[in-house]
Amino acid sequence: MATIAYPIPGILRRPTSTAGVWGWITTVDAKRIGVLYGVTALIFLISGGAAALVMRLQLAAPDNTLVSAGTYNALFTMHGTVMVFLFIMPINAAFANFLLPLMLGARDVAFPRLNALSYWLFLGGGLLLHLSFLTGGAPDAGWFSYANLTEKPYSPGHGIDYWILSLQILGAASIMSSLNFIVTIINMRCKGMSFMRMPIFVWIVFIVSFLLIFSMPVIAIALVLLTADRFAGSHFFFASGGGDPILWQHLFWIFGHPEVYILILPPMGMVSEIIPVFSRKPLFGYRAMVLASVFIAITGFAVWSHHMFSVGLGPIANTYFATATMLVAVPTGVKIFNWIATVWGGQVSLKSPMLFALGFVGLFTIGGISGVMHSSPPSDLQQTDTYFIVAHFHYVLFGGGMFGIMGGIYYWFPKITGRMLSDGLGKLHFWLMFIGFNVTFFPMHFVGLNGMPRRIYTYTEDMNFGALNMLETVGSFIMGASFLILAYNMWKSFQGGEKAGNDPWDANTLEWSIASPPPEHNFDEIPEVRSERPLFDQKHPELAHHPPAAHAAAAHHGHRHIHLPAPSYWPVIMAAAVTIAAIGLIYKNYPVFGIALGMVIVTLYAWVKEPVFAETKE
Amino acid sequence: MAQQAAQHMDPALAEAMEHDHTSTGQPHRKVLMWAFLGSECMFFGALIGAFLVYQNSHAAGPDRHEVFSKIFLVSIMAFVLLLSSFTMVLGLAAARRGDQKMMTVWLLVTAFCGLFFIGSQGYEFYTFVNTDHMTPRTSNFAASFMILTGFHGAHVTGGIIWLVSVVLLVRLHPSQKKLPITKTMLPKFLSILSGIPQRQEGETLEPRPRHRRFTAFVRRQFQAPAPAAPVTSLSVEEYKARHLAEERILNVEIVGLYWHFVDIVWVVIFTVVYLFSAGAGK
Ligand SMILES: [Cu+2]
Repeated sequence: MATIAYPIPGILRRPTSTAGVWGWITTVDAKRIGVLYGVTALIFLISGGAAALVMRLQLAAPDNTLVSAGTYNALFTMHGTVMVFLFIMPINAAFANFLLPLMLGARDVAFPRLNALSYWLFLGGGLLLHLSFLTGGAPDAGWFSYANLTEKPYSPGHGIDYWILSLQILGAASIMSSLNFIVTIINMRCKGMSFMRMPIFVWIVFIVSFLLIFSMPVIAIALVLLTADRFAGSHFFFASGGGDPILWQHLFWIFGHPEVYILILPPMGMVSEIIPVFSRKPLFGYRAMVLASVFIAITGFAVWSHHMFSVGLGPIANTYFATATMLVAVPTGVKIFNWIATVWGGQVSLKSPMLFALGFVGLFTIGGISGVMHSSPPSDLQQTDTYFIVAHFHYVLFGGGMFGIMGGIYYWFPKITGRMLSDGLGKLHFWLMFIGFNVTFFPMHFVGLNGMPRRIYTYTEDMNFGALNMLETVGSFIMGASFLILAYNMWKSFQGGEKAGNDPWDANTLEWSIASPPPEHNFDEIPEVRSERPLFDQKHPELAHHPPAAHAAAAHHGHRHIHLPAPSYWPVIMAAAVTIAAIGLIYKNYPVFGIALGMVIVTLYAWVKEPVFAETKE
Repeated sequence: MAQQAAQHMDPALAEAMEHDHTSTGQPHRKVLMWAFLGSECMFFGALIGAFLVYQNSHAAGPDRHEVFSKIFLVSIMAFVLLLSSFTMVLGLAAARRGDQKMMTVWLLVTAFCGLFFIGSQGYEFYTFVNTDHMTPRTSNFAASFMILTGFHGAHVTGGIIWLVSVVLLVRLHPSQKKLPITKTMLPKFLSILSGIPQRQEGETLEPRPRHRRFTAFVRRQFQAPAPAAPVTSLSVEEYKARHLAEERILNVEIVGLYWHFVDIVWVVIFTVVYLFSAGAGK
């Protein structure tokens, strides 16, 4: 048979080198893309955190004039948008990218170049959002940007346009990466890994990916309609033109409520990996945990109007949405009891990852309980748009999300870099963050119930909010300081932290069976799995119900060259073209928009024609 | 059984097979397409929802019963688009048979049906704007209708470009035999001009009755591919060649999935937007 590998002429050959800056720019390795996601998200965290601290300074005293009302609007809009779309979502994607192939016993994700494109689009969208600052006029209509505020007569500047288009790009990036994760999980599980043997974190990434591909389109369409209002003169959400601003709220929250689970489920997954390892017990109720997550995801699409009780949708709608919302507490409670039961009677070692995980369980429970409080419409009408709500969702997303993510960082940092973080500094970080967090957000319950509204840049002396607000500001700076300890801890670890070895925590999942940091091809020999704790089986064949196959633990059979997909230029070029097209659209510069769009199409063909492996001369 | 065979397999073949192995046995790209179409349902669902909210908000402009009272053209459009789903199936069958010529024909017919659809939609929009004086600025009914059908039309356009690209990628691939034009196009052209039928080399001269040829042709369009030899008996080269051929068929199958989806969405739009309005007005 004649040779069948026809040389396909490309405009740019696939690069072969993975070294240096270009190696990072053209990389298609899921682990490297994970690191890029993580580092970028931590940089955006500085932006979102700085906005929060400026807001806290402004609110520290009554009648403060540190920032104007307009600036304050931009600050809370940017804080919300950045934390949701540019910190929590991408850092969850960072963990998913790094861990998914390792946990599944695979060499990479299903579509490595699509994965790179997701990252570069995310970066493009994030930079686009921040560009609005430099061009004078950040978006200032809140992270949910209710109509009519976002319509041209009320927001004549470009801020909202930046917000719309960057969200559109970020949404496309998340849909792509979620599709990639779904295919990876369905199709790239190693031998023996049935769905019910997947690590719980993988399960949760799987569920979250479905939430993303079903919820992101709804906000995308809402944004398209808003774009039509602002650019083409329609009036979908513009009341004086016959539009219905409430439709925006519906579309936004049909996306927005699943989004909350998109943010919180991955940290739950991380915590579910950490707690069993540091309790020296298997996860209690693995199946219940999976089912609870699936149930939470499905009900996530059926409760959105609990964000809209004050609209006045009528008693039937309110009753339904209140009941459905209360129902969510059941699977969530199952999870909390499962975590407690896992710790119960275990040999608990309070290393820093475990501290953060336990912090997650406690604080998230408080946030969950206040959530059940305003799932009841009469109670919600007293609390909506007050600081009580701010307290609630920060207990969920910071007390839950951020603590879970920090636990994940302390837990997997040794796997990612090969070096340990200092446990002492980690504990200091935890306690400062724990104290700072509670000092900041617990008093918000009280000022909220006393009637302090959200999104108002100041308050007067006689409202008596001053003392508690000052306390909250102090707490927020304690929290800020705790992140400096994390930065110092990481810097110290890079300077020569203790070497991690393969398995510093005596863990159960496959990523710990290989070197830290893992080699580019992940596994020399693709493992075979017999339970949901494959590494435990390998380490304790005498305890395993099904002893692992002999070859799994044995050394690899000599050197074997493993073909991996070559790096590619096209993902970064495509993302740049899309971002430039968005900028062209914002300024109605149609030549720039057209040229960039043409570039996207050219790139698409180049992408399709590109061979999988680098062209080598043989 | 399969495992035993695998143990005696050529290690190079085993490695090539490991590279293409998937947990479900379905190719990655096909699973991706299904998941993507799931996501697409929500895009169209949100747009159809917006239309249902605004279908009676016609403001000073024409209402939907007026606009959709003449549904002759749009019925033809729906028929042609559904017909194109059928030709798409025939195109995939041809690809599976390895019949590149008929694959090209059926895919291009499919694309042509799409082109007819888009052209008619353009004409429809033109009459809405010029005869009914209805633009996105007129009313929310008009805007939501135009965004919904425009979004669908963009999908059809994308599908046409995709179909043509799939054909071109196959036909322009370096593996295609490159015969000089004097041996391909010229004789065909001459035979059309002169009316003398073109004869293939080695073709038997025995004429078949016209209707027999036609039924044979029709039957061939529905033929399944010949059963393939078991993988383990192949050499690495043969395996890779077969895999490459499967990948090409997959290209057709995936664009087919997309095309059928776009057609099904049109059935929903046609019903919800046009039929409900045309019927409920009186
Ligand atoms: Cu909600």
